[in-house]
Amino acid sequence: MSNPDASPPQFLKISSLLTGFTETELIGTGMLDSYLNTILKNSAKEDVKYFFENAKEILDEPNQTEESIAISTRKQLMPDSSYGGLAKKIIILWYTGSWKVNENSSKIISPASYKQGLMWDAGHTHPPGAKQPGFGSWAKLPISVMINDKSKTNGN
Amino acid sequence: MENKFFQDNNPKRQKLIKPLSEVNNLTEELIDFENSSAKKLKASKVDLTLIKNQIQSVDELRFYLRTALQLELSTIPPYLCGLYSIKEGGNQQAAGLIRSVVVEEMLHMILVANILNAISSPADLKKESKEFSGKLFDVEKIIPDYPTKLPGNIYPPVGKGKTPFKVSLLKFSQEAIDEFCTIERPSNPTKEVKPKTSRQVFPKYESIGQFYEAIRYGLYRFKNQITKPEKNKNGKTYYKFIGDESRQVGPEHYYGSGGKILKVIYFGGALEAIEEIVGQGEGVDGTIQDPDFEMFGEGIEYAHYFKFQEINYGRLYHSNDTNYDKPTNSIPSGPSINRSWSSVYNMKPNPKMADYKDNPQLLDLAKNFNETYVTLLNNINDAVSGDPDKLVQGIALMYDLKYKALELLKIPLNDGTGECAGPTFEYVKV
Amino acid sequence: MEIKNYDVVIIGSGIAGSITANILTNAGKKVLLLEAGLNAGIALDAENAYKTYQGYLNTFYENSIKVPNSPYPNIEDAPSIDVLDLKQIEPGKPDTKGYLVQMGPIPFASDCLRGAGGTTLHWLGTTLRMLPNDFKMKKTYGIGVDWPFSYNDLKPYYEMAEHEIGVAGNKESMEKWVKGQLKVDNYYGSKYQFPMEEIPPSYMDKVLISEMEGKEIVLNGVSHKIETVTTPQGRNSTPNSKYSKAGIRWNPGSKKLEFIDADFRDKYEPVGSVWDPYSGQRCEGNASCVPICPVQAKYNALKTLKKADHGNLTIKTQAVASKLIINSISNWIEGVEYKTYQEGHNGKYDLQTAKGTIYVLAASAIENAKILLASGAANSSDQVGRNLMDHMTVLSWGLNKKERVYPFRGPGSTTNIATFRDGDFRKEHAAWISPLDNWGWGWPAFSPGSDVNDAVTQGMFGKELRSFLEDRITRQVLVHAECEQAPDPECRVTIDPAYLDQLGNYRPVIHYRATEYMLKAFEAGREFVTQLFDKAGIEDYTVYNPEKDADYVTYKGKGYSFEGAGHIVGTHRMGKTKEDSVVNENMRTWDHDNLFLVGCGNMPTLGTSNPTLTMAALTFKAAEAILNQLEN
Repeated sequence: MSNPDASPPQFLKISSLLTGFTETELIGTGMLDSYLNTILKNSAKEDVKYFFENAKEILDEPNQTEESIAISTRKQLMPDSSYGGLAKKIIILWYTGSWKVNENSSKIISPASYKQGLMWDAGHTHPPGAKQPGFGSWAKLPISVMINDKSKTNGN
Repeated sequence: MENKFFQDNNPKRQKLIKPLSEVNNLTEELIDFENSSAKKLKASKVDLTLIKNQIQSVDELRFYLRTALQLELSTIPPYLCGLYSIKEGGNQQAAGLIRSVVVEEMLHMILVANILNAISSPADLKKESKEFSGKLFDVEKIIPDYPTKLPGNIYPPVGKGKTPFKVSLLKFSQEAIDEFCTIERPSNPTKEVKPKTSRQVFPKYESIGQFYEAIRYGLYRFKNQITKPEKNKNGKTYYKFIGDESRQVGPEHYYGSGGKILKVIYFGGALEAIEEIVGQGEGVDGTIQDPDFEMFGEGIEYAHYFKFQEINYGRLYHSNDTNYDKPTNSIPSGPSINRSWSSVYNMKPNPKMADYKDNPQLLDLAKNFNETYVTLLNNINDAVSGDPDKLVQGIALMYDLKYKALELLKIPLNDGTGECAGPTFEYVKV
Repeated sequence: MEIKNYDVVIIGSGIAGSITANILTNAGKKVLLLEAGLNAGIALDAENAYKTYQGYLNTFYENSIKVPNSPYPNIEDAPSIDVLDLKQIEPGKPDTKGYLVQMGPIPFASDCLRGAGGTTLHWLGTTLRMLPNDFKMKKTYGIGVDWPFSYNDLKPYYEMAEHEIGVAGNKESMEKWVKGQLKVDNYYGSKYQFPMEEIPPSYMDKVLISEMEGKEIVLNGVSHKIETVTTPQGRNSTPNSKYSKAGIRWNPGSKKLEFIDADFRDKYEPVGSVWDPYSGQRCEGNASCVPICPVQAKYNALKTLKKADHGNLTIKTQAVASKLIINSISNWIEGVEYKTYQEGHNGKYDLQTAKGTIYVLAASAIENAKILLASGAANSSDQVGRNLMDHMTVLSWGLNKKERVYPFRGPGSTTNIATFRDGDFRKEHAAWISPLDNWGWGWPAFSPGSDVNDAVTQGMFGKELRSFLEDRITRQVLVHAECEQAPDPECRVTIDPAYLDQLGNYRPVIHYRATEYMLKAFEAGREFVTQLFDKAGIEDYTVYNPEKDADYVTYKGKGYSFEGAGHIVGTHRMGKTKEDSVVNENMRTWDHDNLFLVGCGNMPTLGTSNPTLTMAALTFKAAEAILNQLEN
């Protein structure tokens, strides 16, 4: 049973909105399909259907601004009472690579999802045991801080 | 009996180059023909055109070495593309083999820089200071535009009717491995290099080995100009290079292969450095006299050409595999390795930032990759321009390069080809 | 039935067992090594070693809660202690959930690994030597007991241990503090060199040092100055060009272990991974030393085992030693019974006996004690199993308000505050070392996962969430006080026929408590951090949970939680007389002339150093004594 609203491109758009990472950054993790499948497999069909419908409405809102989209998202998608708390589960999935089963338990999807957790990027670091930054790197500012802050590299 | 096929500083590493004097009957004295006695030259019966045709001055020798820097650098991005495009979990041995080659290409670059620094007097450096902004090379100019000819007018034979060899950035594939083998293939040492025409900057070389052979001749020929004799306390004479010793990069920050960075301070050091480069890089094909000699087997570190041959054939070498007539024709017959051309990111060949212009987010990522790449080269340039400790700071950039490339490789181009983005290795301003 | 007679039978392939096996086999002795862990773990050839280790790594990635034993197989027939089993103990109701039977009143909080290579697979790699006063606590401070020898006596063996492990360190940094605060000269000695240069201190260290170095802390009316020292570590770094040692060998003439001097051309080469000498030649900053170094830049005992003379070494895996057989007339050990399991999960096994001239227990402090108790061996002093010790570790965490420190990078800790490692206060309360932790709030709070969870629960999303996390994660600071537990005869390992494992072997029954000497240290340690955070501009976020924290204790009306440090020490202590100790200064049991014990169980007191280095030094001393005994 396919759900036209729960397509990878739609999922990508809503994920970018929920996580604060750009669509390209999210594709660059290589996790898009795997996460969409995780959601489809572990959520009530009804929740998925209405969540993506609602998300589409928000994204297609006429005369939208970043602010207006944020307000709609906060009001309509983020409450625990909306769609079985799916929005929060999606955020946690992208950030930690694990699916929140309930309050006390979550499950890492795969070794790849662990390595692609966005929380490490958000914190200018890397998942322990993977994407290691090389000898001596920890003695300096993270590269993501140095390269974005030109004043610090040009000083050599 | 001394084994000429393994390096002096590491008896487990193959060297495919044979000492100059053996291959061409050229002694140090003969190469320095301008200062040799006419009598000896006549008696030697050696054709000196081979030497006369090549490097004609110290400035030209320095030009060759700068070209060698670019040559070494030009092979790194293609090897990295082959390596990065391998998906996790597959082609594990092939990835290991390519990785071991890449780390040695970086070593070669530093070794070439050490030789160049050794033969450069402070006055030489001052003279060029403007051209290179006070550094040893110009990062913007040294980055090749792929597909690229091999720098130094090197054209490995590709067979009749085919277009002359160019190096491309390719995903891990048969085509890529063919390319790698071609880059590293040794040529016949006795084959003469034709004199260059008046319009040529370099004569036409068939292999990287021949190019380094020319540098070796140049070092011998201009030894008097680039070194000063020094007597040690036992009265033995050493030839010390004129360059500033403090610009030499030492061994402490290089690891990950059996190779070693050597400081090039005395004349012998330059020869040892070339041996390291050519021995592990592609070599000069010689013949093996010792019938008990085994080129392959456990614990031996193969020259790059043979590592790529293992991927090419999908098999490891066995200790019986030595082809005594022509070592480069040795075919691996050992255990097979897992090789899959399909568990690979389908990277667009020779990608450019311009290909991504319709996708600003992707363009940003590609730019970010190139910023890291250029910063890394700047660091290496600083390291070989009098600040050797900078090398260690480049390490984090090297690792970061990989993670940024992997992000690019996960992004489909959606242009109908089924191909994905890839690192472009282009110059950007940082 | 095992018929072959070996020179030496060693139980356990952790660092103590591996060092012993390596030294003895290279001295030409025939050795049998019994390892309780799975056979796959012992692989030393490139292909299989890599395969097994990648398996560990993937298990680590997939485990939702990452604790020290997460990557490694927990074998039902030979279980490991798991900190995930920890919980508070109801009075009178022992906790039997995990492998340990925890009698309380509070649970013992540290784990170790039963598997090839032992706990060095997940150790942090800190290689501090003990301090001279640590060897004479009774004499100096009236606390605990003295060792049968001094720091200086152990010094040559420390050098061997530092060679074997491959220590990267900064001698000057340590000596400056030792000389300044403790007035001790020649701690390392002017001629001494570490094999490798120091692991670069973290960016965070530099920020924190600039905020706290030299600041004054007042505890119980006494003023102390904050002094930081870079921490020596058993992980690969830039080789030290002045280091000149190439190996350690037995000299049959002098009857001593001695260093082999390096050829002047042979620079020290960092020892890479078991599967590839060129992998792991430098620490690559995986920031996962505990529980697993993916590239094996961190030392583990398999590296030592690989160097053994395998022509002289027989290894049997999945072989769980259960009992020593004692000759009733001579009181010598005449065999060790072991159970070889087939599957690991169904309790099926073959009972076998191994025989040798000398027996060496190297199975960890808890297992060594358990085997001795099960055998009725070595216990004429009634000290077997007693004085179980650990570093009781009080964590304090906060946010650096002044600037971002970018944690979660590099090895677990690269700098420590040494100020409270030694001093007169040890008469009143325990000493502690305070490593600056490089991994944010990972230990106390499972950050950054918990930060994500908290923020999302509050309703944050999108760019707001991303920048909140960026700020929260990059400012996290953790400082902990690892308090030296003083020997306490009531902290002990016992056995009880009511508690057996699947193979019918005894499970360790643990009695554990914190004495006032420790509680006072918790109080002082927390006070120290409070002042430190204040001076450094760090906002304290520390919370101890009276309901949930397994080791929650109160003192003078205030609550403290402590964690185990994984430093399991003291169950068969070494001493000067057979009345008050289990082994003599050569780690031979007083009761059985052919039984040696190696490992942290020998340590009479703990000091504030992570014990592995000292234990490794002691093992070289024991190996030398074993060779002397075999050749006499």
